[in-house]
Amino acid sequence: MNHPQFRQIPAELKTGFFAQPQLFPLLLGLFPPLAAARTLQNGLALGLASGAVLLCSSLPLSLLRNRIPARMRLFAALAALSCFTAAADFLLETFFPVLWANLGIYIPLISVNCVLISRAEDFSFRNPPAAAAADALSAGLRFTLLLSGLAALRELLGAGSLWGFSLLPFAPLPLLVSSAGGLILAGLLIAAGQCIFEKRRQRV
Amino acid sequence: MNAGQILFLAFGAILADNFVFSRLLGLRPLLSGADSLSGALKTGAAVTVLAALSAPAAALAERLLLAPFSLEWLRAPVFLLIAAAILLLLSALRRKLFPPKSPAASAAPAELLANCVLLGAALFSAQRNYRPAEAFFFGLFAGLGFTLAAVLWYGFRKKLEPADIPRPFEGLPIALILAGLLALPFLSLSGLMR
Repeated sequence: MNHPQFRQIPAELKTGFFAQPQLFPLLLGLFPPLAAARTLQNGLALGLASGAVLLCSSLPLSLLRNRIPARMRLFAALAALSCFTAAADFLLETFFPVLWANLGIYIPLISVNCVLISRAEDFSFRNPPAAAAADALSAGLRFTLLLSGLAALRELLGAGSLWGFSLLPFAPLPLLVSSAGGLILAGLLIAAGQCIFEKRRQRV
Repeated sequence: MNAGQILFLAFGAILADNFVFSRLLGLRPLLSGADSLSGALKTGAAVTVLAALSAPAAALAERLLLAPFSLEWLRAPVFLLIAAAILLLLSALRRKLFPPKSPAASAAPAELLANCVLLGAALFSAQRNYRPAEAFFFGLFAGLGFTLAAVLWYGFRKKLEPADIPRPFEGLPIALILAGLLALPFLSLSGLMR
């Protein structure tokens, strides 16, 4: 992590299982996409689009890693990410216009997602193309899983449906559809995860 | 533009539709580093100036370049390029006006570009088809909304420091729940905009 903003993650935020270097940046990358990931469909689309953008931009960045000076890395990463984001935007607009209209500005915002920037800066600039692509693929898939899981839970509990089909006759907790509810749900889930992890570690 | 429209934009961007708490734009910089009030104010001021300048430029680019050729999908790279140009220009200007004491301090703070508030203000201005003057005020108020959020966030983190938080909630979970609870009063104002 070259830039102070990414380096200065205060220690008090990092505790337990979720502080692991593979997970913590992924969790921070949930914002802003979480605001649009109100339904499973939206979450899956945003996650897959982010993963694809990361995968595509890891290749040129990794190939050019010895030619780009360190102070230009963030600019280079942003340039590559924003170009592939534009491609994703175009494809989504062409093939899934309804979904595209639902996601709105959160598609172009993929280009400044901190998961993608930190993966591109941290990994693609230090490793050969094959390793960079593998890392991008795994980070993209884990991010997709995280975002679509959260989105599915929000849709089920907040709107009583899943993938647009209503499963429950009522919405148990409509608050979850809003950003505030999404933040609280994410906090509670991470706390639950840490609790389970602590218990398991104590047993071993 | 009359004062009423400006007031409406201000109310929307700062309170009812706060970028940080209702759109989750610019929440991550707060999560990952709001350790001093002066730091929060400095980042807020920088974001406000940049957003107030790049949003009208983006609105202009949308009207003259992107919309006539239906190139809306090119918004991300074009708006980032505009923001980068403005950032470099401003930091060159600052170097001229206030010669820095050390060369390290003269570098353009590139990570500001990755702040979602900047790109978000530009994207909303383009999507809502704001005129450049409207976009200027929208960017300004979006930046002020971010500053308000940063200061609030700093204050609440300080209050939380001595608290005895249950073990699993330490760290990120309590921060997220705090952000969610802070978002609730902003959410309650959103009904006024309709």
